[in-house]
Amino acid sequence: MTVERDADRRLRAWISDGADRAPERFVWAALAEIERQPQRPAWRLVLDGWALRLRPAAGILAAAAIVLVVLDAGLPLIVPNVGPGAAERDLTLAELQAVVLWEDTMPAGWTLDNLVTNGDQVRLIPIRSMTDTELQALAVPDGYLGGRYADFSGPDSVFMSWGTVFARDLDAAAAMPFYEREMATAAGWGLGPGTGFELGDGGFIYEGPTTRLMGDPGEPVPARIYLWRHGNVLLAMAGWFAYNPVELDAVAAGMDQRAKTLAREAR
Amino acid sequence: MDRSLVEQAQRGDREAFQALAFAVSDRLFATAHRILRDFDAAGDALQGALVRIWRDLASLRDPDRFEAWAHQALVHACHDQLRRERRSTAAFRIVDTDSVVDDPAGAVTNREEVERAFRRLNADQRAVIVLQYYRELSLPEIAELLQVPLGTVRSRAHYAKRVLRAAIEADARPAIVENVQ
Repeated sequence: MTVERDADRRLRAWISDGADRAPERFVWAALAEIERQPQRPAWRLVLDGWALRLRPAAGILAAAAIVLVVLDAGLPLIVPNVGPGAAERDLTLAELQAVVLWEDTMPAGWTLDNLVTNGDQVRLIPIRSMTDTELQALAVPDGYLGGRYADFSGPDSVFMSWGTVFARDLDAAAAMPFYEREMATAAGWGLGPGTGFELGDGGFIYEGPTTRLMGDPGEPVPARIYLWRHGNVLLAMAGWFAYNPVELDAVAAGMDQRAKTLAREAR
Repeated sequence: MDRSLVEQAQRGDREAFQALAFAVSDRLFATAHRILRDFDAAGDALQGALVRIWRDLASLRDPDRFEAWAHQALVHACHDQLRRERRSTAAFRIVDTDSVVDDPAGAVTNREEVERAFRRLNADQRAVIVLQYYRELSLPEIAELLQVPLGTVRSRAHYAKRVLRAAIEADARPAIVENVQ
């Protein structure tokens, strides 16, 4: 014990030896760097932390997604393709990159903040009614292939563009009511029944104050969320705080138009 | 730490953040220097930590915990610094041990052994040792600061101390033998 205490004392003496004053140049360099660096909004950090917590399950689910992609490749041989229109085919996961909003398609004045392409995380991002444990246990919807999510900051607003791809449009249609409930119910975003609108195969606009932007109930903030289906793809576009509804209408229409254009091209 | 200063900085006030940065920089730098054992690397870690602190400040729920939270960012920055260093040089830089030896009690005459042992530790293990022996934090406090389970901190501390004590005792052995005789 004496030897141990002596070793502790020696360790303490050894470790106390070192510099105690920070050279100012390092502090000034950091301050110069933050002049160019905006603070990240708290909601962004909550999302990041939440995505990290989901990571342990990601490997298994990613493997499942790969199996589904492989199945999808063979699917046209087994099941006839049922698209939203005779002239449209199903979109692939890779094509979602061109549909979900990105730097080259975002409105002027917006900044791209974050991209999530891990399909296991993307499908869970809009869900507010479940605990982390429940989310981990939530079954993958039938035919789910993956998704893409990007979020953006405007001058006084934040935005989200989201898309998920399913093996068939029937699978996407089957998954849609789950997300509709998530938008409408008090346990979810609490935005009440949506207003129907004509984009793709139809969808809803949900608008009103929500306390669930950051997951846990917080201060109510204005929200406008578009959720719709285009063939085998579920799409959403959302704005919070001081969004411009006309601008959001145009962004959602642009996403749908890009999905339509791709679906009409030969694969 | 002035709570209102933290709150102002959380609202994006850069002047308030500048005051905060200067208020904590000595303590952060001292911790980084002991984890990294290199003056310039500690400066880089301090710089990285301050940028990270500014960027993520909105996520700090309790402004009274600012300093502990800042140390958490610093440990992350030290981690990044060690990773970068390992990638670029595949070896640690050698500290000029002659210039830092100041051991009036003669307790540790050959510090290179301890220095080498410490450098074998990873950033997490080093952080636990520095926080415990230099910042005088208890293991539960370290677990809270680093946001890791107490068991993880205990195991890091146990491993690190075993390595360091072996080095220290190896240094001290001749003196002990002499006393016995």
